Amino acid sequence: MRLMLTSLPFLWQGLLVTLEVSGIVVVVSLVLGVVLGTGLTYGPRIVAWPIRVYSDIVRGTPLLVLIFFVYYGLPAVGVKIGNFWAALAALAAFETAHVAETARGALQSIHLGQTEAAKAIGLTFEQPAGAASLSAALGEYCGRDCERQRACLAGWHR
Amino acid sequence: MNYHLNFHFVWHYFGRLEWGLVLSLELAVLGVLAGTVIGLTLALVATASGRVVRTIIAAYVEFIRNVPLLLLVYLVFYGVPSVGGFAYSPTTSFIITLAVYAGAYLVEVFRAGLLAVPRGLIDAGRAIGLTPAQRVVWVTLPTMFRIVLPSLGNAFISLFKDTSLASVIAVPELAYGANWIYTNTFRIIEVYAVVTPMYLVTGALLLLGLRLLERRFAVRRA
Repeated sequence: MRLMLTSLPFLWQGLLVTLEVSGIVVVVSLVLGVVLGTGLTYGPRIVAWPIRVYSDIVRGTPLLVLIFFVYYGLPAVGVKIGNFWAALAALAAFETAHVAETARGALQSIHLGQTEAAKAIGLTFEQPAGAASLSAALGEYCGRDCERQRACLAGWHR
Repeated sequence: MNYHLNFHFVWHYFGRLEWGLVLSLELAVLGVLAGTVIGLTLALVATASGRVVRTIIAAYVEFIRNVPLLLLVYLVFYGVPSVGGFAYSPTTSFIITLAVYAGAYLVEVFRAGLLAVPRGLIDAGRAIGLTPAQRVVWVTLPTMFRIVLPSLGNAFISLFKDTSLASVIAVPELAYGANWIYTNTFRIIEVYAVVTPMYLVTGALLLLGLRLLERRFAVRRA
């Protein structure tokens, strides 16, 4: 019990780092993910294909493997990276791919009539697509993505 | 760039990766099977019983889903034996963890599946004189499995990737094999350049197989 109490400050520090990392990752992956998702849905083949390859590779690899790859792999090819930034980069890459797929799903689920209605009232391409995908991606984030993210983060701080 | 790729060590120890992949798949299969038993049982119990039981099941689901899997792995492997005064192998411990984890996720999947079974089908079963138990076994469950097959498949692939967490308690699966080779040869890029495609290709093949299954058992709506 004493040990539990004395270790509390240390654990508290860990929690702060976890929250910090997850906060940054959420913001970064949301922005990048929506951009990549839009490219995936509406982009020409030369844009969509690299995103598809990136997304499939990152989503098909266990997060743990990805983290090890970034943390041990980048220094081996000469990029110096601390453990904090390695975790951040790996998690952001992982989450971005997932958000991109979510955004793609959201964009593809937009009803054709809605798009036409948006055109009819004179909105440009960016306005309806951006709003719809962002809101859908945000909604998704509040659900399971957030959960997975929490799991990932605690995975790193072992 | 003064790093020279050398795959020799990876091929030399490839057996570890090979058997690691097999063990990873075995763990995922056992996890999804045990998780299905737990999830299906709890889902059936939850739909059939009152608020108290439903709250208990919901508490279990929320607890597991909000605790990182890694923490559960540690809790089951180090925590439970130190309280209970017994020991088990890392592999056994991980299978138990994965079953409890998968169970919590699959409860929700199966509950949604049970609710999605068309009312008319169950009524039709009643009309031809099936008992309540027969209706569950011959009408509800087969229909439900067709409905939940995509979610179940995705859960299986997720679990396959989650088995990489077993490496932290020294279960000799694929990620552990990769770490072993790395710590002994310091050939990190080469090791992961081989291991990542192994996960990828296996995952893709599983996905392909599951999509074929889905197409075979698709619910066709008239």
